[in-house]
Amino acid sequence: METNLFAFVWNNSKREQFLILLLTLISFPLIYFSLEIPKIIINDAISGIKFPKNIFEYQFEQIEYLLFLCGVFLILVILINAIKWVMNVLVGLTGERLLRRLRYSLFERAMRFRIARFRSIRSGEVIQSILGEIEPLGGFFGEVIATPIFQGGLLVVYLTFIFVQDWTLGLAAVALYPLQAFIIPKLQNKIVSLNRKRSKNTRKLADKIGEAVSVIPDVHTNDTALWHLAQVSQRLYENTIIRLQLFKRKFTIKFINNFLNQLTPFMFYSIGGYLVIKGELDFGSLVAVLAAYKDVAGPWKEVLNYSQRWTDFKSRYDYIIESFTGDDILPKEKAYVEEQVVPLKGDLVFRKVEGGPSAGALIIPELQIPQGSMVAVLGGDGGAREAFLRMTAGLEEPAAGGVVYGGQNLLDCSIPQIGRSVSYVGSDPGIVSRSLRENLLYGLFSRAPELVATATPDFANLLREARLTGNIHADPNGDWVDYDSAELAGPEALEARLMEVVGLVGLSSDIYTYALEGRLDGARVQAWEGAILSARRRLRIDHPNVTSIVEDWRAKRFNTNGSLLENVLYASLSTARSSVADVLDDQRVWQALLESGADESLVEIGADIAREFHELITVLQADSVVLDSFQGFQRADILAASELVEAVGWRAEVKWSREQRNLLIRLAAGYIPRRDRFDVLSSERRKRLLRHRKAIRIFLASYEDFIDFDEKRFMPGRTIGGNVLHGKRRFDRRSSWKKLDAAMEKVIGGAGLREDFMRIGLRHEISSPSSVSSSSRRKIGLARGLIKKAPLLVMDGVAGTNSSVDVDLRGAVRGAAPSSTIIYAALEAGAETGADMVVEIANDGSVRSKREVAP
Amino acid sequence: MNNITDVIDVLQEAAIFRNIDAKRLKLVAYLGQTLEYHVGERLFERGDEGDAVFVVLDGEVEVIVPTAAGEAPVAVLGKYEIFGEMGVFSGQARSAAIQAKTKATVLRLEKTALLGLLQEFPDVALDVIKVLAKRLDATNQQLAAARIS
Repeated sequence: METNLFAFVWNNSKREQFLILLLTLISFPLIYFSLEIPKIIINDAISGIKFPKNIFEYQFEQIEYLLFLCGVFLILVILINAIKWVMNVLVGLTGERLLRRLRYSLFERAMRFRIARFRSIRSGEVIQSILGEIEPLGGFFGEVIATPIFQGGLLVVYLTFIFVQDWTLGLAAVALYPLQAFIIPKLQNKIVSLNRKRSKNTRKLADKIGEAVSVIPDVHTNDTALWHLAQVSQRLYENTIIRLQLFKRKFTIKFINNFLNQLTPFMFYSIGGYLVIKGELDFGSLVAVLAAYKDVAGPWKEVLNYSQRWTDFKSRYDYIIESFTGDDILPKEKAYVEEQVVPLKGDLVFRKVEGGPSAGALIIPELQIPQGSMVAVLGGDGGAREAFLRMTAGLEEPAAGGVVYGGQNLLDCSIPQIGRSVSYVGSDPGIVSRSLRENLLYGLFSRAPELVATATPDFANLLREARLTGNIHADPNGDWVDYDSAELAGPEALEARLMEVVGLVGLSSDIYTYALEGRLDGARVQAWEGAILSARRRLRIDHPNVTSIVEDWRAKRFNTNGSLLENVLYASLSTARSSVADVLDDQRVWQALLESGADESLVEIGADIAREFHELITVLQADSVVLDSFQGFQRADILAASELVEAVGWRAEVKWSREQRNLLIRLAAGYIPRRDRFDVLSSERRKRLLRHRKAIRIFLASYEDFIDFDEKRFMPGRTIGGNVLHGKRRFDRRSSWKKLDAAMEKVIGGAGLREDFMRIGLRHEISSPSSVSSSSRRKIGLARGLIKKAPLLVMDGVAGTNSSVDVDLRGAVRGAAPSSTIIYAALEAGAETGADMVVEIANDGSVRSKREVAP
Repeated sequence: MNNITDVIDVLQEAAIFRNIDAKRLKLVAYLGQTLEYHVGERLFERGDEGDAVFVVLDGEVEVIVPTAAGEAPVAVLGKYEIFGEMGVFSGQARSAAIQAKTKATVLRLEKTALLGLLQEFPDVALDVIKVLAKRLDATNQQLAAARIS
C-alpha cells in the first residue's frame, strides 16, 4: 500500500486523472475566447464603425454582428459549463473509487493484524480511522491532480490575458503572490500538527463511546452512566479546544489571503485608470482586464485553498497509514492462500514454552499430546490455563519456545492452515449479525464464491466497480462453505451434519422457538398450509390441556390476550406486520376504524390508558430506567400520553387534535387487557368493540390480503406458532408457555415438517450478539466447532464442569469427532473424568501431565 | 384477580409493600406479571436462579425441600405472603422448590424491575431491609428454640 498520498492517487487513478487533464486542456482555449468575446463586443460591435463585417463569407450589419457575437458567447458559456459538469462528475467518481479502495485496503490490513496487536488498539479507534477520518479525503482524491492543473491553468490563462492587454497591469495582478506563497505555508505547519492531535483525540472519543455502548448492562447495573458521560465530555472538551485553535489559524490564513487579494484591485483602478486617462490603454481593455481579474480571484483562491487542503489531507493520510503499518501485520501470503490447504494433523508438542507474566507464568518444559486424545486441563486459574489453550489454538505467542502441531510450528502457519486445522470454542464466541444458520456455518466460510451474473441485477456494474477499486470480487451472499476441507460431499451432506450437530449440543429447542416466531415465504405457504392446519387440529386433540394456556379466537367473543386492534380487526394482513404501528400504517385499517366508529371507542379508551400512565409515571423521573420496563409501549408514547393528560387535565369531554387522536388510538390499539390490566375495559366497552368487529369484518371482506381469523384458514402474515395456535397465549399462564412450545413441536413433527421447521428456525436473524443468551452463544460456538470437524478442538469455558449435562456433552463431542484431539478446560475437580490425559497447571505456572484411564 | 386494582388491594397487606403509598403500589402492580398456576404446577425448582420475587394473590402454594425419603412439603404460603426475595437479594440459587397447592394466582416481580424500583425509591429499600431483618430475627429465635428443646 502506498505510503505517499500522491503515489496512492496516481497509481490507482492514472486513467481518470488523464481524462480530467484532457478535459481541462480542452476547456482552456474556450475560456480564453469567452474572455476575448466581450472585448470584441464592446470595441467592435457596440463602439465599432466599419460595417458590414465579413465572417466566413457572410456579411453582418452592426445589430446582426452584435447578435452573432452574443450567440458565440452563449455557445462558449454552454460548452465550458458542460465540460465542467463532466469534469465534476468524473472528479467525484474518482474520489469515491479511491475512497472505497483506501477503506477496503485499511480494513483488509486490519484483518491481517496479529492477535497481539488488538491488545493495544480498540475497535472504536479502527472504526474511526476507516470511516470518519478518511471521509473528507474522498472529496479531495479526485482533484489531487485536476485542481492544481485546472485552477492553475485558469490562473495562467487569465493572467496571460491581462499581460497581453498590458504588462504593467499583469505585474500589478501578480505582485502580492510571492508574499502569500511565503507566509501561508508557515502558518499551515501548525495546522498539520493540530490536525494530528485532533485525529488522535477523535479516535479516543470514538473508542470511549463504543466502550460505553458495549458495556451498557454494566452501566445500568453499576449506575455509571454519569462516569461515562464525564469521560466522553472530557474528550469532547479537548476536541473543542483543538478545533478552536484550528479555526483561529485557518481564519488567520483566510484573513491574510482576503486582505492581499483586495489590494490588487486598488492597483488596477489607480494604474489602469491612469493609463486610460493618458490614452496608453483603451477603455475596453481596462473593462476586460477588470472582468478577467474578477475571474482570477476565483482560481487563485482555489489554488491557495488547494495548497491548504493538500497539507491537511496529506498529514491525515500519513497518520492513518502509520496506524495500519508495522511488523505485526501478517504478510498477504500468510493470510490468503490460493490453493487448497491440507489441514494439519498429528501430535501436539510444546517445547520449552514460557508464557511470560501476562500468561500466568506458564512454563512447559516438554509436553506431547497424541492426535485423537481427549485432554482435560486443570488448574492455572491465574491466566495460565487460558494462555495454554490459546497457545494451543495459535492465538497467543509464547514468550519463549514453540508449539508444534502436526510437525509445524503454529506461529509459522498461515491463517487458512490454522482455520482448517483448529476449532477454538471460547466461553463467549463471536456472533455475527446474520442468520442463526450462517452463525453455525461461520467456521466453514473460507471459500470465496465468484460473483455470478444471476446474483444481483446490477452484477456488471458491481463487478466493474470491485475491479476498479481493488476490492474482492466475491458474492457476499453466495455459498461460502468450504465443503472440501470439511470433508463434505455437498449441500445435502452439510445439511445432515448441521441437523445432527444442533441436536447434539442442545440447540434444537432454541431453534424450535425461533421457528415458531418465523414466517413462511410465499413459495412454502401452499406446501405447508394443509400440514399447519392439520397440526392446529391435532394440537387440541393430542394436548387438550392447551386450552388452559391459549385463548382461542372466537368470532363473537372478546380475546383478553389479544390487542384491542386485533380484537376489532379480527383479521390479519397476508404480509407480515410485526407491530401495531405497522398495521396502523395501512390506510384501509384507518378507513375501517373510521367507518365502523371504532376510532371513537379507541380514542375514549386511549384517553383512559393515558390517564393511567400519567398516574403511574408521576412518581418517576422523566429519565427513569423503569419507563423502559413498560412492556408493549414506547417510552416516547408514554411520556407524550402523560403530557397530554397534564395539559387537558381529567376532563371527560375533550376536543382532541388529529395528532392527539392518533396517539390515543395507538395506545388503545396496542393495549392487551390480560397483560396490561388497567381498569379501562368495562363490559359495555367490550360489547361495543365486538360490534365494531362485526362492521369491520364486512368492510375488510372485500380485500383479499386481509384474512379473517377463521380456524379453517392459514394466515401467511402471522408467525408459524400463531398459525398453529389460532389463538393467543394467555399472559397469566406464561409459566406454561414452554410446555405449549413442546406440544407444538410434537404436532409439527407429527405432520412431517420437522426438518423444514428446523430450517425456518435456522433462518432466524440474529440482530446483535446480546439478543442471544450466553448459554445459546456457547452452544452456537460449540456447534460451529463441531461442524468444521477440525483435527484439533479446543474448548475453554464450555462443557467444562462436572455436571451431568456437561459430562454428557463431552461424551457427545467425543462421539462426533472421534479422530480429533479434544482439549478442554476442566473448570472443577472431577471434570477430568473420562479424559485420556490430564494436564495440570500448578499455581506457579508449571505444567505436568498424566495419562488417565477413561472409565 | 385480573386487574391492577385487585393486585394493589393484596399488595397493601403484603409485608414489604405494606408501607408504600398507593401510587407507587400501582407501579409495582403494573411492572409485575399476574400468573395463574394449577394444582401441582411448580413455580420454580430448587437450584433455579433467584430471578424474581412472588406475592400470593390468591390460593396457596407449598414449599418443597428434599428429604431422605424424597421431596416433602415443609410450609404452606397463602394470600398476602411473599417468597423468593432472599434469592433476589443474595444472588444465590433457590433453596427450595415452590408448588401450587391449590389453584393459585401470584404476582411475579422480575429481579431487574424490583431493583429498578428500589433504586428509584430508596425509602422502599428501607422497608425491605426491615422485613428481611425481622425474618432473620425470627429465624434466629426458631433456631435458638430448636437448640434448647
